Amino acid sequence: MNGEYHTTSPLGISWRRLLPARLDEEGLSQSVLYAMIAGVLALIFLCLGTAFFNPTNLVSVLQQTPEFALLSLAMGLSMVSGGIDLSIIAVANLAGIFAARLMTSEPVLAALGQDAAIALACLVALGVGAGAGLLNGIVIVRFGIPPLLTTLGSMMVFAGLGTGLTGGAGITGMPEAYVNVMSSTIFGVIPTSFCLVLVIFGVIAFAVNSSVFGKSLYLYGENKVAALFGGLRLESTILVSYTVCGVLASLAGLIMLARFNSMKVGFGDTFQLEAILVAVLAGMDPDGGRGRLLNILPTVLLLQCVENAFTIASLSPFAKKMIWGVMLLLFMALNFFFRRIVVRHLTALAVKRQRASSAPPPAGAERGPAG
Amino acid sequence: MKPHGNDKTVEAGEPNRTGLLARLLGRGDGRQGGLSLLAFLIVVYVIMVALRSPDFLSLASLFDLIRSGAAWTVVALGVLVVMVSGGIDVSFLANAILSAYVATVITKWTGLDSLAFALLVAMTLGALVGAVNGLIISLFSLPTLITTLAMQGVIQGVLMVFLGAGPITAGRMPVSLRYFGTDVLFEFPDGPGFVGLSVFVVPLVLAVVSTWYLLNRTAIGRATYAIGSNRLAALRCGVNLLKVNLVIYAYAGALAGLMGVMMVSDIRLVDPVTLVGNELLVLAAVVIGGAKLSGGAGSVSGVLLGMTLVTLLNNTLVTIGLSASWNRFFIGCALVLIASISHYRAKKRNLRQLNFENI
Repeated sequence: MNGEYHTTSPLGISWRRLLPARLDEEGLSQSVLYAMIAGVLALIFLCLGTAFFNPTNLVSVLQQTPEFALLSLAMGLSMVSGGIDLSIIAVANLAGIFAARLMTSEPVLAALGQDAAIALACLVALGVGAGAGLLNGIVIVRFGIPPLLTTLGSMMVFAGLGTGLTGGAGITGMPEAYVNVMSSTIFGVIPTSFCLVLVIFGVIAFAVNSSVFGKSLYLYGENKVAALFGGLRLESTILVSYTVCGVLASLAGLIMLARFNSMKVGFGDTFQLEAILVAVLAGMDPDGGRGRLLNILPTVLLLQCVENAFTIASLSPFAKKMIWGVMLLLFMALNFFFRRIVVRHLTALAVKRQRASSAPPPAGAERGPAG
Repeated sequence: MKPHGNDKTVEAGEPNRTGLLARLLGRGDGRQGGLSLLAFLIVVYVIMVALRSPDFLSLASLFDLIRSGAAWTVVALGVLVVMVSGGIDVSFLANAILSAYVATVITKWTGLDSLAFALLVAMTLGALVGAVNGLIISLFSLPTLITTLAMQGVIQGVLMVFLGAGPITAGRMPVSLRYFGTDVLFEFPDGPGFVGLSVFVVPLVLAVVSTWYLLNRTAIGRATYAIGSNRLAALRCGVNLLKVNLVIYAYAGALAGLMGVMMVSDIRLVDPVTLVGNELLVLAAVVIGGAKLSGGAGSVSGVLLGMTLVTLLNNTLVTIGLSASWNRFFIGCALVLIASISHYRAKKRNLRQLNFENI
């Protein structure tokens, strides 16, 4: 289809050749993404040079990425099915609070010993995340409340629960062993938590790209009425996807707990905007059914690099928030124009084909179906 | 004439249920049912609080409730209008504090120390920022939540970075604003002293009346319900989406500006980093009051009831023996509960009518 267009171009060379071979929205926004990554990295290099591009700083970028990557993955996963999960930060905080409580409580430490207590705390935190995600999913599929509203409400519930349990204060003083495990490195360079993130990305991207689960998730996001009429009951799929979101969020909470050595409701609130930004930049469609989860990883790294560069340039958090906001608006506006270009391109193609098929065919040529 | 939300077809064959619970959950129109349930919840809660502390049932606490809820209700009315159109606005508090800050600075700078001038500046600026929201959303047909979330960051960034805002304390605030926060409309004798009805009730009533008028008595208001109910049908009927969006987002912005001035007069401090972060409470109140995020439903009376419940929970949780840090939890629970009931009813009804809007 694309080849046909290129060979019939009247001028021989057309600017459309510059467009990617698969001219659809996904391919276009993906190549724009890669162009943007290259551009931004070049810009950072020009502005900061070796203040940014030195081994120590690059490793610190990797160290700061994991929780951001997990939260963005959760946001992207919820967008695949046409939803959005605003409660991930609250879930991360709540899970972290549970884990911190268990790890720092004297009776638990005395009864189980330190290692078992840490393991128990991590399990409980993951359980809290799974439970919270499952709750979101149940409310969404059972009662038919839009995900936006559900997670808005559950965000208040989870954050409120966390505030109520702690009285709004932070819990500090995690065991040394826990902080050390999370901040350890492989080969002395790559942080363990980042390797964990790589594995999780691999597993989830594989599951979503090439399993029945993933296909049905995309179908639900694209058109859930069609999915229903196709005889698919996708309630359990949605339940699973929100549960996975919750687990990812709680994992992010555990990593945050280790990095800050404390936990409090409101930690990581800025990730809310940034996770949405990452998901949209990575080409996930907030209306569902489009986008590749693997794109989220390079986008997260890009944004972390930018964030790091901002820190080196000592910008205030408000300036950062503003730049994120402007980027989000710009990219969404650009996407709008891309979509228009793609639609025009496809329309032109269809018109051309229709003309070709309605013209009197040469003798012996097979006539295709009109329209 | 009352808006009938998503009820596109007349109810048929709805079993005539009786009994208290069924009546509370409402027959027929889910929106009305939600409102009576909400009123019931408020009454139960007030009785609970009154049992704990009999002093609660007094004129003083009523006036206190009005005073602390007035500013939030004003901004919630703007959010309602946006939500009726099927959108959502989370930039309103950033807008409010930006407008209030600029109004305070301009009032001081020009020396025109009058409340009317400050309100004019704040509401104009708020309306402009709101119009930018509406413009971006309709020009590029963007998701409203993400757009306004981004705008929240932009507005706050402009305030902090370009205007270099720092807190303005009561001593440096214009006199008119300081008086606005403490003035009372009239006083009643109450025990040893007097209780006064805060002057905040005036902008509150004005906002309620104008919002009701906008939604129910103007073509734009009806178009807002139409867009929220069925966007495509509304567009085919010739509704100008850009115009409607501009008006409603600007209106929400103007109310945000008004709310900002009320807030800074109330707490007697213009601190650029306050307010932002409390958007959820307002959104919760509007949704608890029967507005749907998908649009087409919601009423001024619902917002008043929802805001009453939220303000009550905020103010009086301490009275029934829970620390104030639990209030978000309870407001969230109320939100999920009420939304569940109304959406579950709508889902069942829609499925019966072979409408697969929210399966």
